[in-house]
Amino acid sequence: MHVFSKNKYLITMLAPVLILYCVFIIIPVFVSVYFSMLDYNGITDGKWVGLANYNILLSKDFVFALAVKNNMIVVALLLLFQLPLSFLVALLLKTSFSGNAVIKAMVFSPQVLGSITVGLIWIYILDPYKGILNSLLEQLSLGGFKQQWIGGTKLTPVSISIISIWQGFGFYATIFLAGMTAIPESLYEAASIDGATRSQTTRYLTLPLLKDTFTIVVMLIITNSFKIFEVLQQLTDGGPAYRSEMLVHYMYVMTFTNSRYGYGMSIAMVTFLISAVFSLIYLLRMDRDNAMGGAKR
Amino acid sequence: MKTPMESRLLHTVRIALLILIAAIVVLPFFWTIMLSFKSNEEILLNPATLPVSLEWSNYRKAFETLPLARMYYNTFVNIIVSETLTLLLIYPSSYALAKIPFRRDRLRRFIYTFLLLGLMIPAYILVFPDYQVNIVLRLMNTRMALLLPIVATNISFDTLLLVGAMRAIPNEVEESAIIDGSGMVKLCLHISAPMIVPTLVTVTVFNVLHIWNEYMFSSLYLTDQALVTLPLGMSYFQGRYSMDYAGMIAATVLIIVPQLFFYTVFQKKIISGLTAGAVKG
Repeated sequence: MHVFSKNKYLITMLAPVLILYCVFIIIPVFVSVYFSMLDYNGITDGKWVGLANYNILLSKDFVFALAVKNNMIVVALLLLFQLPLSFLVALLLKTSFSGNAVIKAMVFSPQVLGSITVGLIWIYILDPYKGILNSLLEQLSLGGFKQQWIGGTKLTPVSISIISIWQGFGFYATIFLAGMTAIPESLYEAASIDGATRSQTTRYLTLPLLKDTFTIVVMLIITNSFKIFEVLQQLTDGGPAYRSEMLVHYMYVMTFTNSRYGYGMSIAMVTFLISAVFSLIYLLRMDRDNAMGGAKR
Repeated sequence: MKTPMESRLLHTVRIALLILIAAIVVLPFFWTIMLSFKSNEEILLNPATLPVSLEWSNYRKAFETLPLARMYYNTFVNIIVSETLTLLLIYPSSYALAKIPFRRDRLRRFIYTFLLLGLMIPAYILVFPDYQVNIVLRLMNTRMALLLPIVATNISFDTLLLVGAMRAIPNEVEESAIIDGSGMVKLCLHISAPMIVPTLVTVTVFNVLHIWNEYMFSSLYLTDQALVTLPLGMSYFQGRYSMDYAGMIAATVLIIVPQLFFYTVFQKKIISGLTAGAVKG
């Protein structure tokens, strides 16, 4: 292969990718940081304001606070419900039976559709006036349970969470399943010879060995929930009066609808930081637990 | 110890539970399909029951509600062009990183790590600066305004998977090909590509789904009606209650059914591809 070690080969093969990558991925990150410190509306020249955008965002912007709150509700609900559900479904999917692959494919299917499509499908279900859900409740004489699932003042983050759970749990279950398959069968045989029950096996064998998989899934749930945008745009567009706003959508509206480019970029930066910090906290905790586990042994 | 009877019962319960969960997951698809056969009045009065008569006219109205043919055409062209570009660019660069000895190996490792950084950068950070880049390069409202950023966002993941697969090809295979007089192009196309077909399929499936579903970039870079894609068309519905509801639902069915069909065909590859992407990414 040394024949091709000449610079002319390496440059022709690598340069196009490196240029494209720098122009559309790496330099833009710095452009974002730079713009987040400007007051810029696209018409007049941008004015350098330092950290003023961040200051306003964190201390005076009540919509931003609402968006953070809504995002936190979604993260919390997903970790509470989607995580255990994915794990349970993975455990169930480990049973071998004919049709296993079909079930797996069905459970995974929503992940394949784009979030714009997913949002639309759920409008048909959740719309308070035309949607299936409220009308079904009515027909079952449970009219009292009818809700403003979307577009009301309270429930949109809950509905967003339900949709996210539906869309993603099959995907996360598949990740768990991949982790479980990597556990050697001999360990399970040994456990069953020792007379361990199924729940004991899960608790003392499967769970501890899946620690890394859990880390991956939790981080994915966190970062993905901070990326929610299309579904919200479809359901309520952040309304009414910003009540259902979430971070990425708020960034989009500020930047491209209100032309407050600098401010919008400061929202993008803070969103990225929050999501990174969450993942980091989780990683460090796992690390500490691992270290303590090692010490105990 | 459990009796065989008990464990068989447990087995049945587990399967029943799984079938129930799977049924709940696909229920929204069936509901959408069912709604697409109802008239607007029936949707309002009785959305949750089976349709009284099949309202096929909704499917005619679907084509009046959304420019479906154009949406499909554009999405299809975007998929073909972006995937061709992606492989044309990323295959050689990955090959260089995987197989060609650099004079300084540290440089090779640096470039490889550098190209993986993109895995950590979410699209919402890039959407505005890439918009600016498109303006500077005078790409706005051309297909390339979407396709170049999309190809760029493919780089990190594709490099990770392709370099990994190429490294697994034994060097002897290529060395003997070189002795037989193969040039670089022949080496890439005829010798190494056939050996990493599964990874190529995974990468392609991943990239194709990405652009098929892409909305955020498209909504800003492709405002020209002539360039409307499937996700863009479906976003028209937001806030527009004047749109024909039944027609819109029928249009939705015409969009989800082909995609679910594509999924059924490539199911194994899609599941393993997306899972690999998450675990390695």
